[in-house]
Amino acid sequence: MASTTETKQKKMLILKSADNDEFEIEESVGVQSETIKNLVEDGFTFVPLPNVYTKALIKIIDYLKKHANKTDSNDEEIKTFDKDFVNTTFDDLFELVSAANYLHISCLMNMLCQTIADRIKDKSPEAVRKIFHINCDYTPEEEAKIRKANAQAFEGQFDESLD
Amino acid sequence: MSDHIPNWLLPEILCMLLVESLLRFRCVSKQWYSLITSPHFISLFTSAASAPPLLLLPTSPPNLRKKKTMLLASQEMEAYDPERREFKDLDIHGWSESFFLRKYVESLVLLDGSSGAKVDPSIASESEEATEL
Repeated sequence: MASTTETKQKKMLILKSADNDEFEIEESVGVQSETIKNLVEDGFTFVPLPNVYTKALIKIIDYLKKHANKTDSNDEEIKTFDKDFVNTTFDDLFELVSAANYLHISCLMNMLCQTIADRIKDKSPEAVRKIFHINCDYTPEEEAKIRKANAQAFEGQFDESLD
Repeated sequence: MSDHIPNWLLPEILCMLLVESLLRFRCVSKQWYSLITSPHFISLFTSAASAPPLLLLPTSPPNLRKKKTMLLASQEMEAYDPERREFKDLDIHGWSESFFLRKYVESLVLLDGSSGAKVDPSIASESEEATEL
């Protein structure tokens, strides 16, 4: 009986993704996002998120649900969840970091930025260009000049892989 | 769906890298170069919790100026001798156009080689050398 009453009292929010999918979540889960929290405080229960696509939103809702239930005893479980959460492609991580930034979820932002940084730190500049979809705009001469000026930064073998 | 990271989010990621990676990534593109050497990024980098406190001084100290290179140093700021305006006993482990010191001590925020005046890093990076490739 008590649990039924509790369920009834739970305030719900609808989040709408950029591709028009709607997701119902508990308010207490949603307000971990500062962006959603501000809207809730202004009385909104329907939250359009024009910068967050469904694919990212599903993952982020999972993250918020998991982290909303943080207790002293499930620390390890959350760590495992987080590790699994970031174990994805760079393009997915970029999508997620943009969404987390828009939603102002700072702990998620930090985790994603740290993950990307850790995964690129030993990469070659060529691999970084491919990962970030950057066209090199240096002339070969300009690039050689930078490499020469920073010769020690280019000593050794770097990771050429793109994952 | 965009799989490109917005430019204004890049600093958030790059400030979590170590100096060694940043030096290498300056040759990724002109945009990355100007980002990594910008005053905004430098202050973000030095204040990032995950990074050791580092000071990027985009100009050379007087006694190194001739070499047209700068160094990557990890040593306490006591290594700077204000009387002689020289660095001593630096643990040099890399060369670059900029150099880094592990400890940030405000009284020793130099370094404009020509005047010897104390220069805030945000000002220093506007010097000629900082923008030069």
